[in-house]
Parts: sequence; structure tokens; C-alpha cells
Amino acid sequence: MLKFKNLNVQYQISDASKASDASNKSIIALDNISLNVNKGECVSIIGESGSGKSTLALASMKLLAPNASMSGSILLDDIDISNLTDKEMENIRWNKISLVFQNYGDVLNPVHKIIDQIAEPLIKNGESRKVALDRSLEMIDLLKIKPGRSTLFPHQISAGERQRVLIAMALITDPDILVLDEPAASVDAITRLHLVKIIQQQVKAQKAVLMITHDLSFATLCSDRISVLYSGNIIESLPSAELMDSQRHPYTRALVRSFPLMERTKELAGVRGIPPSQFPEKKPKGCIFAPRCTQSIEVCLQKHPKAKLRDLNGQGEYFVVCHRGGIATMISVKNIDKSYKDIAVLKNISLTLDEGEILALVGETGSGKTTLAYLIAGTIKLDSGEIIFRTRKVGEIDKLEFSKKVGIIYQSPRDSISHRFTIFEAIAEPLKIHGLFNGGSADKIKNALREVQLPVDEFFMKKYPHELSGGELQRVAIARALILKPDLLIADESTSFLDPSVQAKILKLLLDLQNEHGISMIFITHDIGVARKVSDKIAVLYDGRIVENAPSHQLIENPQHEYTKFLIDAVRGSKIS
Amino acid sequence: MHNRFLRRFKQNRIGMSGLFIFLFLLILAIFAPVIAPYDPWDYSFGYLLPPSIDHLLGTNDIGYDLFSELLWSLRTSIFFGISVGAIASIIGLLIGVSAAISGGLYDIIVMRIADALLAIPTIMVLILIAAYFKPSTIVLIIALSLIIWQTIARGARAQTLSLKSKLHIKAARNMGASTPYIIFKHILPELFPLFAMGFVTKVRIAVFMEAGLSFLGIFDPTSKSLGIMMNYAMRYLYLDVWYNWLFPTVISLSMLIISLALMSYAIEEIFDPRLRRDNIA
Amino acid sequence: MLTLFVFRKYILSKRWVKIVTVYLMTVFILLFLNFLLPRLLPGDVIIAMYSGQEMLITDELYNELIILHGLDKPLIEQFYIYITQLAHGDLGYSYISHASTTGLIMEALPWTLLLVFSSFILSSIAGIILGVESSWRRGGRFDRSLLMFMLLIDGIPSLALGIMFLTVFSLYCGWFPTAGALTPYSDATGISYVIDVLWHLILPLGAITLSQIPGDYLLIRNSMLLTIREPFVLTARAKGIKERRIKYLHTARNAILPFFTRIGIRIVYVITGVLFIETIFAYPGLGLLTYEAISNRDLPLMQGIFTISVLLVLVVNIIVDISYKKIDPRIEYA
Repeated sequence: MLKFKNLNVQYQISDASKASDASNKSIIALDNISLNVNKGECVSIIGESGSGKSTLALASMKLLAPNASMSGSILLDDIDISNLTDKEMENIRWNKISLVFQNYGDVLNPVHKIIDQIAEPLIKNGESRKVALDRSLEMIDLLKIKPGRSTLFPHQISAGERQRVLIAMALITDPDILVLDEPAASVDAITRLHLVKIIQQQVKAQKAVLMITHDLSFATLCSDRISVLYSGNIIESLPSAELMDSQRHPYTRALVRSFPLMERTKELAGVRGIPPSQFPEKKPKGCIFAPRCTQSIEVCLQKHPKAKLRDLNGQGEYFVVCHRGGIATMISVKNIDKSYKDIAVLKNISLTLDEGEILALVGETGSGKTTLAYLIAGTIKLDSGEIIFRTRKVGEIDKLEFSKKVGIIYQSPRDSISHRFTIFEAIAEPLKIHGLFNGGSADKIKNALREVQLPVDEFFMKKYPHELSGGELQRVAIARALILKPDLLIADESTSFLDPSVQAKILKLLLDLQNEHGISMIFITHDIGVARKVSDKIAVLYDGRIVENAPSHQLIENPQHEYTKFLIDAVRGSKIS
Repeated sequence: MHNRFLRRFKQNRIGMSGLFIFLFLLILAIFAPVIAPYDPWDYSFGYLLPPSIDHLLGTNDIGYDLFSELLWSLRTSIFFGISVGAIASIIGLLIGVSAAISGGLYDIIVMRIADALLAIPTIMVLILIAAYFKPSTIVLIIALSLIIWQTIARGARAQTLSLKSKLHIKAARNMGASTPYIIFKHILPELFPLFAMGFVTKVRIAVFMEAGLSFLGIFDPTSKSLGIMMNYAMRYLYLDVWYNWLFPTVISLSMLIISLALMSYAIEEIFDPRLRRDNIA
Repeated sequence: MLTLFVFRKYILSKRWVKIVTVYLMTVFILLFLNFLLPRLLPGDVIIAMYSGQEMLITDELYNELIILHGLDKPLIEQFYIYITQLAHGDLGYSYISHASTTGLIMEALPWTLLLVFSSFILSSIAGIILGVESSWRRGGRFDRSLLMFMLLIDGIPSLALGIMFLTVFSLYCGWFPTAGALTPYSDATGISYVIDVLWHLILPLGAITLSQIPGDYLLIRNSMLLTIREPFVLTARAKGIKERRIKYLHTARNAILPFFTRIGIRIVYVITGVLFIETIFAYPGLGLLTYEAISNRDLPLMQGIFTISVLLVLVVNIIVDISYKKIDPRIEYA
């Protein structure tokens, strides 16, 4: 069993460019980490580079650089290694615990044959050379390294083989605890699968396995539990099965969104903003992720969040560190009905929209998807049921206030922008409406135009809508919808009239802006093909009902409802007959 | 690079102590005609006088004032050293940069010559040339410079090659910059530390060679040189002249070379920050 | 498999083409200095050769000397003669000593080789151990003071070091002989011969070794400081390998590579140093022979010594180049 308890690691760095500056800075690499890896289990640590993953791996063997200072304890079974000397560690290293190093540079000694390097720990333990070499050959065989390779030098084998040599070297002494640092980074897909098997074997053999990786699918394949590390803090701990679709922390979701899964359909999006500085002026007062978060509120900037159990019943060990208890629901629609005169347009609709999420409403014309969107936007009244925006009922929020929070991009910009307005005036309109137009607004508008990649010269801003192409005008509409910094963006068939090449550009722009602004979006479309490229979740409406509502990749991969299947096939064109 | 290099050098205690010793000796050498109490070729004093107020280090076997002779010898050493250092590093720089820029057969030939020169004992070459021609000091300076440029050329070539592949230089090329422009604006300034390193190292070699060759009797025996002084002092060692004749000479030469060794170590340390003593990360 | 073979073979041969080119270039420089350069200015050389001797060079004598040295023959023929002689191990005739140059050199060579190789080995061992230990304690007091000490010693030229050793230990303390490699007329044999040789050897060897140690030390120390940061050192630590094994078998084993490649250059330094040390201690090797050749203006002898010293360096280089593959397995791909 491997156990970290309140582990803190800091690196002292003397800034080489300012040698005269005596004040040494320190980087917090790990901030109060507590983590258990039990026997017969594999735990993965995921996170961006610089999050402290490798420091954790090194700390587990007390191999930190001399300029690192550490507090807290590290337990290998019942031995606390945090106060052991290097001399005392010599016997623990590789016997109790071994480490598969990240495969970069000369991680293997370039002047020794690989078999000697694999066998070295056994020989050090007093095994005879013959026994040690025989055991090494077995390991080489286990990892499917070609037998002839064993007497070569590290530079003579491929990177994938070197990775396996590193694993063979770690397994040679059959340690109770195994730490792997990015084991799949340099191997091909087939070897990767083999590594999964090897790791699973180790878990079955009652080893405690800690795996550090940025490969999310590898993490879910190998491990039972996953901890998400951000800037030296574990911000979420969750069962592997829930990583892809039921993550709770906005950061975890952003990681998942950035990861190129085979099955995913949506465009990749990076984590918005920039990673926290490695040299912070001072430790931030609030949540470390707040500056990049899609749902930060006042309290997030004020104080550190505490870990909250993921399980609502207060059970289990999984937690999320977030003031808002993880990804919050922005809108929840509960059992609403809407009819025009006596035609029922929406029947008993329920759905939720999370903060920072993109939900596609898909359905044929007349399915009620537009009505649903405008109900959510509060522009039409509902008959029964309720729509909750954050904590308040939509109908009860002041209309003007609420309209600031919702930006809408309409189907036709020609109609939604008055032909009497210049481009400048069109974008200024929401500001004027909300009484926010002032001296600084011109700059704001220019920025908004820049964001949608339109020119910002006077000449362009004085143009009238009819002088612009459809694509340009839609960009203006997007700029206008975003000028008030809304929390929710509704895009109502806003790309469907564009020709495919322009549509592609507008979609990409929309997604980039959604990601950078960190806002939620409802994307209304009749084209499920488009929906699958942009949305996290798809809700399919048919005849006023939601017939299916699931994460996009699931819905596309494995549609449950006949109508969904029909829509997908229709797009594929396979059922024209 | 340039400015940062000078700033780092100023902060380097080893380098600065080397520089101070060197500057001290340099000033003594430059102002030797003023500082020296007597004409070093004036042999009108008594033979082998012990040190006194009149003759700080006494006199030698033919009546030269040893202190004056020492100062003038230092002058010879430093003049020889700096000349060779400057010429050899300029040759090395030119050859290295041009080899890297032009490549091809020129590059191959020049660099093979550089490698071959490493295997030739420099001192033997100078002995031969001196024996053939009885050359003047200037000729020896040039001859020595012509056979010790190789390490600088290799360094300059390697660095120019790596610079050539840098994006900012490619960018400048794409903007239409000429080769001379690239060399003068982008490459040579980056090579300054290398030049400084080469210069100091070559001055050091030259000072040693000058002393060594004159000790062996290659130079005109009437000229002023630390090597010649040592050679003569050795002949009169039985007269206990070690403290006023031999050791001051030996120590002066050592001080000069130590100052250069300290500077070259400091430059190397600045060159590769991984060597810094205080850098333990 | 075949492509790999061809690839390796090609890279291997490319390395050797380069190495052999350097050897040829070295020989060319040797021939240029020994053969071509004096013949470009023959008159000057004759005068330079004989001006040191108490004789008047008349025109008649001058012409005789030209013929004596074969300088009247066509250059190609002179070159053929020169090369043939060289191939037979004939380095020329010393008119001043009235002896074969080869004979004089062969008499002196063993003493020089003894000094060169024993000091080379001793300084290498000392440089490596001190460099490794110093770098391992980098930034500590031992490292800092040793570094300072070495920088100071590094600045004292072998010439100065030899003079001080001689003055202090031989002349004033009287612990060691002041000259020679053997006690004259002692006819000692066996153990006492060896002791006699060692007793004469200690001071020159000590001076030359001490002057070489700082260079070796600094080279190893710098190389170690770079190697210590390599990931495989961390790997070895992680494997729980004993510190001494990590230090020497993993780190120093790699850090020694630049040291090894520079053996060829360092042997040149040692030879230069030995030249002065032998002169100072009147040790009967090539250095002293050179000094005598200079004093006597014995040109053929100087040329012979030059040839021998270049050949010596070449032989060392060839040994290093051949064995380098064993030291650095990556060389095939480098």
C-alpha cells in the first residue's frame, strides 16, 4: 500500500538571470496531497504538464532534487519514508517500491547493455549474476521485447522498446508497489494494449499501482480510481468509469474535452486560459482554478474550496474540490408544457444544462426545439412546470437583468439586425439598451469585432448590414450576442443558412469563443451531423417530447430511440429508399 | 547575450579576481618604462648585488637591475600574449564562421586541418621555425597564431551551425537579409563569449610559449623575457639567487597565467550555466 | 537486417574516412615543416644551421653544404630520398654529434616514454578521482576549496613548477638528485637499479604530473556536473544502487567520455610539459635532447625529434580511435 499524507513539496529556485537578487523564490509543486493506493488496485493521476505529477512519482521514492523541500508523510505499507536518509532508502528502493520512469532522453544509461541494467537491482540484492540474467530474460520475454535485443545498448532499440525495458527493470525485483510515470507516452497502440494487460496483471497480483499519465483513455483502461491534479492540488477524485461522462470538476471536464478519444465526435477544445504561473507572487486566496473556471462565483476568488464528497449521500471516498460542488447546473427544466392555442408544442419536457456545457437541441422543423430555447431564455411564458436558472425561477427574475445573461444568435442575421443600423450601432445596441454605453464602449466593440475576426476600421464599422455577406453578418451577430458577456448563449439554427465552408468557419469561431468565454450554450439545429461536432450533450426532440438525451458520443455511437437512429441514418444517407 | 555575458562576468568572483590580477600586471607592463627605476639594458651596476633600496631585487651576473628587467620581461610576455590571443582568435573565428556558412569541401578541408593541428606539438613547430629562420618576434607571433586557432574555429563553427538553424536567423533570411548582414548582426554578437574564451585561452598559451621558448634559448638572448631570466637564474642557483632572481620571475609568470586561468574558468562557467557552483537544481 | 548492416557499415566507414583524413593531414603538416619549409628558403636554412658554429661561411663552403644536404637535387628526388630514409627509420644524420639521429633519439626515447606515460596515468587517475568526488559534493566546502586550489595550480606552468620543485626539494632540501635519470657509474642492478631509477624519477614525474592534474580535474568535474543531471543517474538512484556504484559505474563512466576523446590532445600537453621538465632536471630524454639540439643548432636532430613526437601522438590517437567504440557504444551512430 502506498499512502501520501498531507504531502507538500516546494522547489527553491535561485533565479539565474538575477544572480545578485538574493531572495530565492520557491515553487509549490505539491500542495497538501493525501492519497491512498491500496493493494490490488491501480490509481491514476491525471493533469496537465507542470501540475506536479512527476514530482509525486519522485516523492514516492524520496528522489526529489536537492532543492526540493518536503513535508508530510509518505507511507509504504507501514514504513514512513519521509524521514529516511538516502542510505536507508537504498534497501527500500526497488525492493518495496519501484518506478517506471518517463521515457525521455538518456533515462537508461547509454553505456551499459540493457540486460545488465535490468538485472542490476537483483545483483545488488546479492543474487548471482546467472540467476539475475535469467530472471531478466524472463522479464524481457514477458514484455515481448525481441530476445536479441537484450545485449544491445539503449540507443540501439526503439523508443517503444526502451519503454518496455524500463517496465521490465521495474518489475524485476517484484516490488509491492509500482509507480509508473507516463508509461504509454512513447509506445504504439498495440504495445499500449499490451502494457494495459501487464498493469492489470500486476494489480491482480495484489500490487499497489500508482500511474501518472496524461493519457485519459489509458488511465481509464488501467485504473480503478483517478485523481485529477491541478497546480499541485488534487481537485477531483473519481472512479475511472465516471471520468468520461460524469466528471464533476470543471477542470476535469476541460481535460476530457481536450483529449482525443476515439469515440468522441466533438471538436477538441483546450482548457481555457493559461496554466497558473509557476512563480506566483503569492499563493492565491481563492480556488486555484478560479481564473480558468467556467463557473466561478464570488466565493471562488475569496477562499479555498474544501473537498466535497461526490456521493450526495455522503458516502465513499470520491470527492471534488469546488465551492459549487463540482460542475453546477445552470438551467434545470422540470416537466414543462407549452401549447399554442390548443396545439401542444412541448409535452412534459425535463432537462438540465450544466455550466460551461454545450447542449444541442436536435429535431425536425416543428418539433418544438425553438420554443424550448425561448422558454429557457424567458422570452415566452410557459404553461406549467418550472425552469430554474442557477437558483431562481426564470419567470421570477427581472426581465432586463435576465436578458443580460442570455445572448441569442438568430437564424437569420439579416432579420435580426436592423438594416438602419451601422455595424457599430448594431453591436452597440445591447449596451445602449442596458444603459451601459459609455466612453469605453467603442473599444469594447472593437474588441468584440476582433474576437469574431472582423476588421475594426472606421470604414467597416460604418457599413450597413446589406453591404456584408451572410458569413460576415453572422459574425456581427455573434459579436452582438457576446457584447454583454452573457452566461448562456443560444444559437438558433444560426449556421444552417450558410454554405458549408462558411458554416465550418462560423462553427469553429463559435466553439472557440464559447470555450474562451467559458459560457454555456444551447445549440439548436435540425442537423444531427452538426450537433455531434459541437455539443457535449444532445437532446433529440420529436413531436414535442424529448425522446433521447445523452452525451453526444454515446448518442451517436449507440442511439436508443428509433427516431434518433432515423435521424442519424438520414444524415448518413443510408436509408434513402 | 553580449550584455548579459558582461554582467554575469562582473558577478563572478573567480573571474573578477583573475581580471584584477591581469589588469594589475597589464598596467605594470604598459608603464614599465616609467615604473622601472633603470634602463634594463644598462649593465653599469655591480654584478650579482643582493636586494637593496637602490636595486629592489638586486642585479644579475652582468649587472642588469633585476627589477627593471622583470618589468620589461613582463611587458614582452603580455605583448606577445595579447598579440597572439587577438590574431589567433580572429583567425579561428573567421575560419569557423566561414566554414559553417559555406560548408562543402572548404568546410571539410579546413576542419580536418584544424583536427590535425591538435595532434602537432605546437612547441616543436616553433622550435623548428625558429631554428630555420631566426625569425623576429612578429614572425613568431604570426607563426604561433597560425597553429593554435583550431579550438576557436571548432567552437565558432559548431555555434554558427546551431545559430544558422535558429528561427530568427531563418526569418531574417526570409526577409531578404544578406549573408554579411546575418553574420554581423546575428552571428558575431552571439559568438562574443566564445571569442572572449578563445582570446583568454590563447593569451595563456602564448605567454607560456614565449616564456618556454626563451627559456630554451630560442629567442634573442639579449631581449627581455621571463624565460631568459629564469634560464640565467638557474645557472647561478648555487649562489643563492633563488629569492631575488629566480622566484620573483617564476611567480610573476605564474601570476600572469593564473589570472588568465581564473578568467577562462569563469567564462566557461558563464557559458554553460549548468556548471555554476551555486546551481544545485 | 541487411539495411541495418549497410547503414552501420556506412556510418562506420564515414567515421573512419574522417579519422584517416586527419591522420593524413597530420603527416602532411609534418612533412611540410620538416621537408618543404626548409627547402623553400634553402639559403637561409644553411646559414641558420651553421651560423652558430665558429666558422666562416664562404661561397665555396656554402655550395659544398648545399650539395652535402642534397639541396641541389630536384625537389621530387629530394622528397623520394627523404621518404625512403624515413621508411627505413632513418631520421637523418647529426653533423654536430656525428651520430645517427635515430640512434640519439632511441637512446633518449625510453626515458621520455617513462615520464610521459607514468605521469599521464597518474594524473589521469588523480584527476578522475578528485574530479568525481569534487563534483559529487558540488557547492560544498570540499568542492569549493579543491576547485580554488586546482585553479591556482592550473595557472602555474610546468616550467615554473619544475623550477620550484628543483630549487626546493633538490637544491635546498637535498632530498632528491638534481640531474640525470640514474646515478652515474653506479652499475646497480635488480632492485637497487629500480630504486635508483625511481629516486631520480620522482621529482620530474611529480612536477609534470602535478601540472597535468588540474586540467584533468577540471575536465572531469565539468563533465560530471553535466552528467549528474542526466535522467539515468536518477534511474540508478531509484533502483537503490549503492552510492559509490552510481558515482563511478553510472555517472563517471559516462562523464569520462570527453576525457577519453581528449587523450590525443592531452598527450601533446604532457609532451610539451616533459620537454621543459627534462631540461630543468637534466633528465636524459627527448626534452633534454631538444634543448641540446637547440643550443647546438642541430637541425636534423630537431627534425627527428619533431617527427618522433608527432608519430607518438599519432600512435596514441590511433589507439584511442580504435578503442573508442568500446568506451562509447553510441559511436556507431554518432
